[in-house]
Amino acid sequence: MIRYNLRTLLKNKVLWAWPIVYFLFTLVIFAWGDITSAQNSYSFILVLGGVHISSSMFISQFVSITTLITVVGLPSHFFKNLKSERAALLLSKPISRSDFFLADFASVMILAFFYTFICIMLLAILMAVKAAIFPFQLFLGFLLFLPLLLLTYYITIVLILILTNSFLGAVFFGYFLTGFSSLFLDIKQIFRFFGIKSKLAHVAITLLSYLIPSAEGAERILNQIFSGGFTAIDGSLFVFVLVSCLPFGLLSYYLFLKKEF
Amino acid sequence: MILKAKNVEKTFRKSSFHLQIDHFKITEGNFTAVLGPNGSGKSTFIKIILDLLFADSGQITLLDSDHKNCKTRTEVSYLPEKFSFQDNFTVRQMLHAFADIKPPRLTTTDHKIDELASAFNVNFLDTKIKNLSKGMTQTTALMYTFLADDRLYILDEPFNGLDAVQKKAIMDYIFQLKEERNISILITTHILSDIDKTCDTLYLIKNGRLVNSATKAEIQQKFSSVEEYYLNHFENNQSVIS
Repeated sequence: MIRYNLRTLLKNKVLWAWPIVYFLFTLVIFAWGDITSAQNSYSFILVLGGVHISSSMFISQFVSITTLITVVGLPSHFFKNLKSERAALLLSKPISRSDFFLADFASVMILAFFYTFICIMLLAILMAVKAAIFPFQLFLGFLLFLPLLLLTYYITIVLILILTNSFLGAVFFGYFLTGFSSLFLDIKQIFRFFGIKSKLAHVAITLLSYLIPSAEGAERILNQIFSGGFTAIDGSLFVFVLVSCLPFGLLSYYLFLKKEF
Repeated sequence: MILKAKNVEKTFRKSSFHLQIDHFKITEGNFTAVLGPNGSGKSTFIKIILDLLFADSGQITLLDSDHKNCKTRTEVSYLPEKFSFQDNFTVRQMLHAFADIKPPRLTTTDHKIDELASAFNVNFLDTKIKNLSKGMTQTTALMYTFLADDRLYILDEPFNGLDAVQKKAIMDYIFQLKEERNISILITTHILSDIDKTCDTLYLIKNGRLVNSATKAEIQQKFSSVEEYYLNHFENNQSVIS
């Protein structure tokens, strides 16, 4: 089932945009730009046409573009597999609903690692040639946590797809709902801003923060790695991100097991 | 026993359609047809057999195991009435993709694809599915169905959009399989000429209930054709078989 999914995912032209954007960027910097490294190996500055772009800005822009491409591209195969016309073909094979569901997540993660790896290779070549640097922890951080970031969005979208069977609705609502999770990382500030003092509200919103997969949490971990390496990762934030993926993930799994085609 | 269903019930709350199959069976090597008008419950029953829909109650044994056990489908192939393949795949790529889930048991995937292409007169293996005509798509779906070397083939309206020549090629292949491997077939159709003189057992279904069943010998004895048998039962009010 994983091989079947990977064949389908690799044919997805929307997802091709992900490595293509990185490839074009590498070409442009090779041809017209430059990279200057700062004192430590995690920071660098891109110079393109007289414009100086810091590594943090570059990384946040690329994470945003990657997220946008994958939020649109990744769920399309699952949406098609959910239609009774396709599900009947797949589930009449000797695979259970459980295999079907878990294999889908496994395939998506394999693809995310694969495309991330391609992008890292391109960036590594670019940085080695242009600035003679190899920020290993940055690359490893990308490889480990960019797929995690994408997973947070994918889990929400899958849940909404199962509930609504609407691709557009799932993509839009999933994107905004997961993005909305960023609010929960600054709960205290929000309480202060709105003057909320009720303990019940505190508990309710804290609980809510664990219900929605925290994309912002994964993004912050990426930024922590870029700014200070793996030792800078906030362990509690990492656990929070993983735990926040569970409720929607498990609910999707349960609903999928009960779904009729 | 290939398939045995007993007291299977399913109610759809929205449409208030109720399916009730008291007794149904397919023995090894049997060619069984379920006939009935549109909306009579043929496809619903098949989907319940394959656990795509969940029965409210009843027992179904598929290849001597509970039908809910996905391993029972190791030797079952299903062609749904409505299907959706990956449009951007060629026929060959699509068949390889599905062979990743369940490969042919007796030969290699490439060999099986070539065998099916030859049997079904297919010369569009490298054409993308989105560029196929309706008949070509249906033939492709039949290739998908016969890709794995199974014991039971469940075909829901398999001849939609096929011309007479193509139908004959496919029926010839089915009979070849029956001769070589004693396969069993469960077919649903409302085109009676498709199964005239080919089925060993026929079941008639109406409003979610089996209203009659007969063997080929019984039909030949009492009626001139399957069509006459069908009309005889659906033009008259028949009691439900037990």
